[in-house]
Amino acid sequence: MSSLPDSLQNLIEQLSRFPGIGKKSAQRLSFYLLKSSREEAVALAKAIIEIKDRIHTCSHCHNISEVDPCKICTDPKRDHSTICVVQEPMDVLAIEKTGYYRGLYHVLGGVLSPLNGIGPDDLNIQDLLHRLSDIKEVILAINPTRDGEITSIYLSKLVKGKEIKVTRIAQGLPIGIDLEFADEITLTRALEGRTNIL
Amino acid sequence: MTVIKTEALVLKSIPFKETSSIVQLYTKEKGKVSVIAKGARRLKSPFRGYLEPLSYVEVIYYHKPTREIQTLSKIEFIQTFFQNSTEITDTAYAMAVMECIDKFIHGHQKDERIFLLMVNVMKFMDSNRDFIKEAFIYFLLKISATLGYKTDFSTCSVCKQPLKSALYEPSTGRIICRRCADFQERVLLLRDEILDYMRILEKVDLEAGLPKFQLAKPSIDVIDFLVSYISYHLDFPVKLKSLEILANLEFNIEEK
Ligand SMILES: [Zn+2]
Ligand SMILES: [Zn+2]
Repeated sequence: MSSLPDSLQNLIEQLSRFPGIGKKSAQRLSFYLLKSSREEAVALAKAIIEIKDRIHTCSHCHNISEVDPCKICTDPKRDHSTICVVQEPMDVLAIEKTGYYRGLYHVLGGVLSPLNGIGPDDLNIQDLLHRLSDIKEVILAINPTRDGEITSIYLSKLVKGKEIKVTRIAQGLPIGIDLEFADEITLTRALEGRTNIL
Repeated sequence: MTVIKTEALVLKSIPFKETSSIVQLYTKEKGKVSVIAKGARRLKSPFRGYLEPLSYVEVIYYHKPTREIQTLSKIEFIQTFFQNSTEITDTAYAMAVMECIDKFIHGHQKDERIFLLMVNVMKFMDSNRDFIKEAFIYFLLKISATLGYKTDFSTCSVCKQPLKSALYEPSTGRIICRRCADFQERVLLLRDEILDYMRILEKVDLEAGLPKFQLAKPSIDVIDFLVSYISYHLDFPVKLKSLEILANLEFNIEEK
């Protein structure tokens, strides 16, 4: 390793900090970049700098955006009486991909996590409360972890009483999974959330 | 490297890399242990669903004494406490038990009594939701005694005279009588009914149930007192975030 030129060694180290990228992959990517044209490398470097310069968070929903307010918040074709609350911007992306939901979003920036020292003031909760004036429904789409659960209950108690319907996305079995491989907790949730078939 | 099989309670779980989790356990056999659950956040992982706080499980892991984080091999479900609780108060107190173990116990400190206390308190809390605060006070009294800082509500720790009404002095960690109090220092009054209640709690066997006596609102003061008392003796400040979140919610709801 030490026989590599410093600049190459540096790139490998930078790349190996990426999620899912080990030392080996970082090396492969670095050698690929070394062989690629100068234009390609510059384009990549520019793209990286651009996201840092141009992407901000929307001051309404806290999703990532190049404009403030974001395109979702200002889209007149969307349902402005429904807010879907999620943990991270990635979750907005996941829900948008379904094409099913047409309301607004609110990104919390995490979940309440007492054992990791994260309380209400560390999340975008106050901003959510300020957005509720014309809202009819708040959908909680928070990960079904214990901390996510605490967050959902916390939010529902806060929002409750404001004549707003608070719903939570269903928890149950993923499509295509065999029942016998499902854990007890998921299976219990799936049974509790059962629906009429006819 | 040895293979350890033990019962455990999950204290906390943090995502690690793309799909794994690092899980902090309090185990019956080895005390506090951190394990890595590889691929635990994958949809088809056999670990998924069992690694959340308040899960009571049996684990098998590879133990290397030189390593900080051990490798989880297998997990078997025993019980999950407060599943589907829609009362944040309940979950907050249960989480506070986990938080105490996380904060009060450093290093491995294997102690089967601590493990059994946790399991018993969790079981009790889960099936006696009306007595959850009282069960938490019971837990604090017992964990304090187990860690070697047994509270003494019978004699003043200065003059050794029997205690009638008592004061707690946060700056010295002492439970004292009125005559011995130096009122220059901040003191906390332990009201008679609270004192009596704690004397009873100390002797109670949880499996037989707690006395059918619910503390009114001031029970929060008792919790503050006990947490401060334990913190003093452990020699570092402890604030319970679980209870802070609860207080914050109650405050916000009152505001509304
Ligand atoms: Zn927006
Ligand atoms: Zn005295």
